[in-house]
Amino acid sequence: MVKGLSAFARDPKITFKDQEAGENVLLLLRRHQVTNIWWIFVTLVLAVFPLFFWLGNAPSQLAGMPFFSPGHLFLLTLVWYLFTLGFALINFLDWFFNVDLITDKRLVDMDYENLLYFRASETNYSKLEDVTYKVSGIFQSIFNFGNVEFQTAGTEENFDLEEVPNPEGVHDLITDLMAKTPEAG
Amino acid sequence: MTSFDPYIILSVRWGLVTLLSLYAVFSAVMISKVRYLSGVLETEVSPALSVLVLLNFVFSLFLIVLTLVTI
Repeated sequence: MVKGLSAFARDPKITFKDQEAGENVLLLLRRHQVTNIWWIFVTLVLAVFPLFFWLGNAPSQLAGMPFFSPGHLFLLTLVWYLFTLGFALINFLDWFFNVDLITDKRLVDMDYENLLYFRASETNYSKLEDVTYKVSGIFQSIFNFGNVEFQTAGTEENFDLEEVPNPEGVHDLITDLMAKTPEAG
Repeated sequence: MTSFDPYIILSVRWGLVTLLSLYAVFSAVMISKVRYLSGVLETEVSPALSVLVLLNFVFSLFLIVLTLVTI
């Protein structure tokens, strides 16, 4: 697998906006790859569907009807594949840019929900009060992924890393970093 | 083919062009979003992703032209 497409990358070779001098990214997290299965499956079905249409006798049946010349059908097939590509791209971007970064100084959460919404939030380890992880359900147990939830001090927003691989390892890393932070309570 | 209602042909032609134009706008938004996000998070995959969304946009423009030529 391409390393850049990892859902759990230690010491990834990446940089991010507002990265401080000397700040190192220890861990990059995305949703587990298994969570992508549904849209990959739908994309494959959408991609294969025109093949059944062309390999079957549908084109010859439609040939007698007006407006269904092979040229028109070929054009509609290309339009179909364009929308299939768009569907796959949207879902891939949704996975690829939904990133959580654990650096040696802070936790950065980048939320990408659609083309018009993106939010990046961060917190220092000294502001984290409680870290819990949760693995629930058959898929999460089999593939070892789950949620890691953080309670932050005061009125700051709570953090939630959803469906990340190896939540126990993430939990241990965060608690170690909290312990090393001088202000940690 | 010649007996087919020309209004229906025109409707299909411009309906498809409108649909593809909306998709092209959507693709252009996708290009700008990916460029922005590649600046926020620089990874080794980002350049390839930018090329992919650009191809998606070019493909939509190509189909607009093809629709106008074919139908």
